[in-house]
Amino acid sequence: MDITPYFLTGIIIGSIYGLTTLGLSLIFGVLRVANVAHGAFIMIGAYIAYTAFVALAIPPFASSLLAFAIGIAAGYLVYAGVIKRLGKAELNILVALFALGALLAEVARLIWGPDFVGYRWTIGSVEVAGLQIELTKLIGAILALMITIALELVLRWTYFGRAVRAVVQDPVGAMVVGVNVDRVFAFSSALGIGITTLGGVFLTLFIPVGINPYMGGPYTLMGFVIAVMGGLGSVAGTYVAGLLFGVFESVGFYLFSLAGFAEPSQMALFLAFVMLLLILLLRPTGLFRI
Amino acid sequence: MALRVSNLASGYGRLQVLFGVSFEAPSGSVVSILGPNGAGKTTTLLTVMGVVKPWDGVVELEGVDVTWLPPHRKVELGISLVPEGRRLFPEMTVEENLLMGAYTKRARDKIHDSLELVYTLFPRLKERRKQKAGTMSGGEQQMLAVARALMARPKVLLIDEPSAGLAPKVVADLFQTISQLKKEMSVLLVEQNVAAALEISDYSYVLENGRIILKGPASELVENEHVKKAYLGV
Repeated sequence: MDITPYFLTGIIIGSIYGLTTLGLSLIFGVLRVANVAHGAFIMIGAYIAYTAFVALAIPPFASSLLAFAIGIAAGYLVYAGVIKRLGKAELNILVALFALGALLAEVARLIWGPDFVGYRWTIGSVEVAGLQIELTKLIGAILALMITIALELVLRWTYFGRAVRAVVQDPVGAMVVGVNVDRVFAFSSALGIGITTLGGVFLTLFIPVGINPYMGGPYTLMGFVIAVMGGLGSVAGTYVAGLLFGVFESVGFYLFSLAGFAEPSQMALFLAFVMLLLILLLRPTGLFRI
Repeated sequence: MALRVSNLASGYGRLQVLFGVSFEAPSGSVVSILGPNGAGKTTTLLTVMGVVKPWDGVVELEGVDVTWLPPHRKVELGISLVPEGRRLFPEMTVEENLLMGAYTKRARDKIHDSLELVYTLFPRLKERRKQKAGTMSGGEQQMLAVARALMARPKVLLIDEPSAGLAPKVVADLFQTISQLKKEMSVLLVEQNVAAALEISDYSYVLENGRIILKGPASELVENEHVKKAYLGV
């Protein structure tokens, strides 16, 4: 019984899970808003990758830049049009974002139809520890790590990044030292949804036939599990939690199918939730702090 | 006049807290606003700062009307607040907190001078510069809160209840330092610890139920019958 290949597979998909959750975590940490439309922006990113590849022959690593730009614009509009307008009415924001997610799914259905679609892009593979890993997936996972590191560096070493962390730790404190909190909110919403859409592009490398208007829901749920595990607002914590989730999913699937469970993937998901409960019980602030 | 506030009214939602509060804080002096819990002292500072939106009245900084500016613009122009409860960034180090204090453009240019200045004023902070702010004692946190506000190079420094939760000896040291600050700026102090505040104030106002009911040089207010009975317990 060798779980190494399952572990590696889990790390690689986990890197993507970490990336796709950074935006959710950032938006919650800074704006204290649970973005329940999160999965819908992953879906938008996935369709951008699909359309760019199938209709225009643009590979996903190039179309991810386009998705990032579109996500930034969308994130700014979400802030200016929904979150800021509804202000302190937290429940209203939640309902509005839920509606926005449903609306985006329906718009996607009008444009791309209700069927599952996808594409396959191969540029070769490498062998690691006896496991054939597709290069596209490996590069995707490495880029996801690099984007995470870049975000962490921006938050840690630039004036504006430090201001973002200040708002996470104490918004009133940030206000009285001269931080334009409104601008930090707009920036975080734009960047957060930009990264989410970009992550949606990367995700398509792993789901060759899994793009669908309603694919967002499970990713929203998974995103919250990962973000809470990592510590809401913490970049490094979110990424590590993404890796853990990927490993649990992959290794859990293997072990549960060995043990003869009928629904091993459901059991692996169950295991991930058990882990979430344990982390919340033992370390309620999540793995890391911002 | 460094800070002049006229007929300031404000509150939260439909609840009015301030009913036309007026006071002045000239540079080179410590002015205090004293009063019981719930009188509107904190609200006064938050409204001057713009964290709470004014309903009416005028706030002037060196003769310029700044009533409606948002907090970050006021910091840029020279008003700094040491807020109630300190509002530090608990997961940042002492030094990171101080650097955040110099966030505005005007302050950023003088950041090295400012750091040296606050470390001279509070040598303890220099010893602790790599420590996370959230792990320090209450007195050290209050020092850091004052130091962080100084990093913005204010012309008017608003300090909200610095003595809260601190031991008498620590309060005495802190007030000693605060009284030195007036050489460089105007200090507006809000306090429930009336005896300690009157000792370092040049001029004081007594705020009750959202209105100024008494004002005068601190040396005179110490002798006032109402102040003696209600606040000094003599």
